[in-house]
Amino acid sequence: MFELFLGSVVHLLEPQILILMALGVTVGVVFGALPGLSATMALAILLPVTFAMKPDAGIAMLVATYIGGVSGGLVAATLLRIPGTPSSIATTFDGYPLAQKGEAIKALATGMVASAVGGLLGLAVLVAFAPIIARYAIQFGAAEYTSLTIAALMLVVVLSESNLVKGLIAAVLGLSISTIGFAPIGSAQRFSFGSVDLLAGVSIIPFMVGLFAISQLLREFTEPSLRVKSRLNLGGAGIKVSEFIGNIGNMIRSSAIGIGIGVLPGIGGSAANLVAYGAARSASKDPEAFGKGSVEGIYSAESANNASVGGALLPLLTLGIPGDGVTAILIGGFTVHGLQPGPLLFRNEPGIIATIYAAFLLATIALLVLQLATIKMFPRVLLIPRHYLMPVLALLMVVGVYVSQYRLFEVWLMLGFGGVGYVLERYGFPLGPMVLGFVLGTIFETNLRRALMFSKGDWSVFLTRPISGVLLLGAVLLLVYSVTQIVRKRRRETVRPI
Amino acid sequence: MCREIRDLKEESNMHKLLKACVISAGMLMPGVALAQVDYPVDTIRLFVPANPGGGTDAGARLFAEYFQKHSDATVAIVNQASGGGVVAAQTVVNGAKDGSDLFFFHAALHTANLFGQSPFSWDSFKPLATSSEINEVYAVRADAPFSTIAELVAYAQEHPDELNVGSQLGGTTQVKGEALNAAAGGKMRIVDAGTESDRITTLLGGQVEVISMSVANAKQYVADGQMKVLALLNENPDPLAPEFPTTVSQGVDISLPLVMTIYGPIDVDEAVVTAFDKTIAEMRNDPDFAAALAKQSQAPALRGPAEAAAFLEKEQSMIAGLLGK
Repeated sequence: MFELFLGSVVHLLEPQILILMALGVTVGVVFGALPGLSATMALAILLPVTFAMKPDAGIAMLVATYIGGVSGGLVAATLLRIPGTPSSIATTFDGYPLAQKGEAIKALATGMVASAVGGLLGLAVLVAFAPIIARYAIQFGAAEYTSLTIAALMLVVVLSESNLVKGLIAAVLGLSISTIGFAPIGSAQRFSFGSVDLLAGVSIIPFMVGLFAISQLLREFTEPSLRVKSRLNLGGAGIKVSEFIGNIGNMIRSSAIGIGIGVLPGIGGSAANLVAYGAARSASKDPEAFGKGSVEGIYSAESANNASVGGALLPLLTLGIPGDGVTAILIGGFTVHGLQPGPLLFRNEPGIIATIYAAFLLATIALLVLQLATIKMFPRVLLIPRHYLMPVLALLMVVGVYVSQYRLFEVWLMLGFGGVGYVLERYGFPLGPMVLGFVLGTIFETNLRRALMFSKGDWSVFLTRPISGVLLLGAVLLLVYSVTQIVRKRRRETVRPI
Repeated sequence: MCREIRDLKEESNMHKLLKACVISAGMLMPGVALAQVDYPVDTIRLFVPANPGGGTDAGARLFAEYFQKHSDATVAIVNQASGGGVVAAQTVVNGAKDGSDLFFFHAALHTANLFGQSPFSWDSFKPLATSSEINEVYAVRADAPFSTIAELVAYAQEHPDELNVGSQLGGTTQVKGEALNAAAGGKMRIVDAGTESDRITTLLGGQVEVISMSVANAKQYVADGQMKVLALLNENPDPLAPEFPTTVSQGVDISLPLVMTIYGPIDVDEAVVTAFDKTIAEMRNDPDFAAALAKQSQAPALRGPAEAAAFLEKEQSMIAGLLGK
């Protein structure tokens, strides 16, 4: 495999293919950066373009687009507090505050380096262990998914910063919104009030864009005095070597979470960055700094989302099973080029697998080089007068959300969630738990019901299946840990004044 | 009002004139294929209730490509996956009747309607054509103690309520599960195991014993030694996988290939129906269409408007019968 891999790297270094890949990365980054447009859409648009290419060139371009799309959210998340994709939601928590402190370059550079490290770690795991991990991923059944989502939701507690109750309320709100429309199993209609539009449920794009991007626009308009543009320092130092070294452990843990979540079909990168962020916060020596421009937070969120790409490609290549919407389109792309992803791909087409790995490696490097080379340009966005920038962004959001399903209803949903997000933030409800609740809600419900169907209604499966039992135990420990932390903190605070 | 209609008519006459000019200009050029059917509008929006990348989407894109080749219309695919097809169906039911808004789907339209998940059935539309079909099989793990339908039925009789059939409840695969269970005297359990990808992992992970899946995927897992195929759900063997025995040859009377169908609004203009009739006839004579479909593990199943309506009526009543509705 290694020899083939090196051979493919050399092959892809052909100028023609390199140009196509650079184009793919750029399109991916642009789509990823603009709220409403996603990596999924970038691939859907470029897919027909690759039909006419040779298979290796076409596949390399698609892989490059995917990687660009996942990373593109970084810039807008850091500079404008608008996550371009769900996979960069957690980046806004610390990237934006750091940029506001006048260290935009540092925030961006940290994110870019973390992305590259996460991507490479994901690739390493993919190359080294793909067939072995795939065998274990299959053992992950409905009961295990149920327990995993419970454990991930427990991180809500960690994510909700100081206010546990508000965090839980936000999470439950997210969970409730995910139940709108048809039940995932069977045909019960919920909260649709007879409207066909609502029967379709709420999809992640209008939900996320509304909650994070529209609400941010509303804030910009209603609180104009918050930021003084002219004094904003666009320079600032880059990353510190000591910080990078100090965060190696953090990046490895976050990447492991990213890969783990990416490997499991159905959850995808939108949850990976939030879960890794929560884990980093609870493991940090300085959790109080999180949310105020902590470098640790950026390292964890950005390494996790890129690592999830390697994770998501794993079941795709070994089993032909897509982990999320983006990989589902990639499968379509592969079949067009005469490849049937599935268990035989590894045996019959090792050359193509090597090409995919090589494209992954080159795209990750190209992305880092491109981003670092242009890093000084991005913060200038902050110098554009808001009365030009905001309408343009608003227009892009409306168009992006409309084309996600080609229906106007999605735009109304987005605007509605914009209002909801604005009000919630104003009254101190954290949005992270809400998104996590929304993303995991359907997965939890579906798998809970499936697990009970498989077990003929016996609830003990969640404890007797070993992986599931361990996950539930982990969830309980997380809850206990968080509650004791909060209690201890309260005690300290009440003691101090005396 | 009257004037508006006249204006529109004049406009469309202008279009026809332009088209005629373009076509006659084409005739003067050597080597240009000219078997292009005149379609009433320039651009068709084909609403597909599936995300890009899957079998339904691939079927729609290939249909679009060859429909464009044999008519003078441009076909744009619009993916509208939400609500399991309800949204896309609604768009077309209320769409323009000049043939510019069309709907592309398969038997899931019947099941969604029968299970009460959608107010739209096949006769809410005007069927215009069927284009291609995907065959499915019943698959089990390679180490399963049965290799044919008869052995499965015998095993199920001896071990009632032990075998789980993984289906997507509310979808076409539930019908396939019910049909198999009926053959086994109702001794198996139909459980939800989600989409095809989910069903494959659930089967391999040992949580269910039987699933239905596409021929293209099944061939891979059989060749890899992970699965066995009990039967192909068709009366005729699949040319892409002649080694799989059919259900009908094993005495189970169920033939349910996933047939891709194109619909227009119920009151679509007669000119659209005529144009479809002609274009489908042209596509039938095009060997490239079958070759392109084979790459996606689909087989041509071209039917014009009249044939498609007769086929859909039969398909719908068969599914309704299996579900006891």
